[in-house]
Amino acid sequence: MTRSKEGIIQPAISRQPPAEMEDKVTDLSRLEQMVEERTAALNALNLKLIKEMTVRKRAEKALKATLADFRNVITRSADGVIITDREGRILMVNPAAEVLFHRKPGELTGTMFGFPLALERAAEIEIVDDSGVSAIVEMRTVATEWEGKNAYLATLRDITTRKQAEESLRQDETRLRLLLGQMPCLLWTTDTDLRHTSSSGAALADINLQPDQVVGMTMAEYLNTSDPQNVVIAAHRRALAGLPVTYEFFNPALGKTYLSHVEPLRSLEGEINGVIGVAFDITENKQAEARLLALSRRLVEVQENERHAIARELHDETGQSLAISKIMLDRAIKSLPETMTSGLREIQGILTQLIAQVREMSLNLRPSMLDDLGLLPTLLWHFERYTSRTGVQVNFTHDSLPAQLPMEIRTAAFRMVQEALNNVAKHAGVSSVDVRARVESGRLSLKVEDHGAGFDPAAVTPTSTGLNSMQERAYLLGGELMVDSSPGCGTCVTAELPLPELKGEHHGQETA
Amino acid sequence: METSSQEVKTWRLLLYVAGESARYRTALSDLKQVCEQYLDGNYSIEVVDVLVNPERAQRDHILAVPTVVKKTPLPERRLIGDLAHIELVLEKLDIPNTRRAAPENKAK
Repeated sequence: MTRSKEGIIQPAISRQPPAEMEDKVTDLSRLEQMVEERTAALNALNLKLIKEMTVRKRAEKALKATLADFRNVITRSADGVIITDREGRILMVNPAAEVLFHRKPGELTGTMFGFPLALERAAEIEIVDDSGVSAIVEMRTVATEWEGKNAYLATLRDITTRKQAEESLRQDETRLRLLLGQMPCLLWTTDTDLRHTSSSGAALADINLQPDQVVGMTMAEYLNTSDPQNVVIAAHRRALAGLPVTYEFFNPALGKTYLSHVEPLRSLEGEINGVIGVAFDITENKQAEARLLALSRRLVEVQENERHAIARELHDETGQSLAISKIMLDRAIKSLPETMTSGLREIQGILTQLIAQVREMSLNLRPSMLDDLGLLPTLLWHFERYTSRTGVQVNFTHDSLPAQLPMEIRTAAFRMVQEALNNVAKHAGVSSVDVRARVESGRLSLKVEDHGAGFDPAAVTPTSTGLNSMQERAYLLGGELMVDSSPGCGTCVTAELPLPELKGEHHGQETA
Repeated sequence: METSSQEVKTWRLLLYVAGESARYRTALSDLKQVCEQYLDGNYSIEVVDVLVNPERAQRDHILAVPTVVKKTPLPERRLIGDLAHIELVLEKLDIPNTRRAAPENKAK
């Protein structure tokens, strides 16, 4: 038996039937075989169909599950979701969208929303309610199918808070830009390698830099230094360690002085990821300050010179003339009869008083021994006169006073002690005061301490008690004056004056 | 109702906005641009500020702004969102997508 090209089973042509009966049996057998083969083919086809139906049912089930999941996701979404038809009529709306529109469940379905125009990019829309705009929403639209029809799915995200924050940030930026545009300052940021990440500020123009021109440049490259101890780099390193630093920096290349402040720059997580700094050009201020300092020093110098001159004039001229007058009057009185000298003796008494007053005035203006003998003898002399005048005992200790002191230090030290002792006599109400003078670490330290009435330093007006002039004298010499006092607890005035390098032995002659 | 070939249709548009915001100015500018370019003056735009006229917004069932409502020619259509989507605005407002010749082209 052979099979034709069409698949029809045909008996083999070469075989010849031996007999009629045999032929019939053979035909039946062939027929049975054909039926068996057809049945097998049909069974195979049936099995295939059953398999296909199973696959389709599974697919349908999976599709239904996916649709259910899709609805579930939409229903549970925190963002509002609206599905509209092609005209913008609402087919489905999730609970988040109903909350967004202040509507009850199901109230929006079937109403006209409008075709949501946000297909290519997000659109910002404002939700409207009875009182006006209730929220700003970012809307995105995608084309989809809903229940077998073309539809549009719009997601609505409430960005009201974000927009308010953006608006607030925008206003802050506007204010900052205005400030930066007007203020003569430099503002910069760096990363943790101290590489500039931004630079701005109106003062950039003064140093011929454009905004952000130094971005990418390290601080060392910008300053053209390899010194790790450079004040600017050291300040930035401290800022990276979390410490805000304020420092003055003179840039010799620019001839400018800056007052700078640097702070750590932190990420949202609070980690330090760089430095932010601001600098103000204080060159003119520094120049004015230097001029003022020089002027003040000159003023004090002139004042002392003038006092010196007047004191000398009083002592040498007026005092001498009065002394000679008194000698001449003494001689005249001796040469005249006693009855004629009573008036002259009165004049003699007045002259004696005048001589004493002139001498006192001369010493008060400036004791000549400060110029001639130095600080220590002058202080000792002054304490003696002070005690005799005021009744306040001075307990004086001194240590390591140098042999030579510049005249301006001598004068300032004497004037400060003089002023502090005057205050004790006037205000402290004590019978003794401690004065100490010593040199430590290249500084002359003077301390006047009493255990009297004391006062509140914060309540003292700048012009009262001579404290101001004492502070001024200390400042002019690069030193400082500290006042420690409180009502009922006495007063301690300490002056620290830096000394230039001195030559010679201790307790020797001071320099004029 | 069909219009004759001689009859000129006019698009009556309502633009619902909330206050004189940047969003309002952008929406009005986008809508005007489309109308100028494709409607050759055959349009009117009425701006409705929902902050000034909340009752009207409520009556017209305005849920959000900017919303454009085409009153005529019928059928009424409604759009909401970014009006810079010119192709979609044309399609949804039934405006023929045949751009008016630019002035310089006319001169040539």
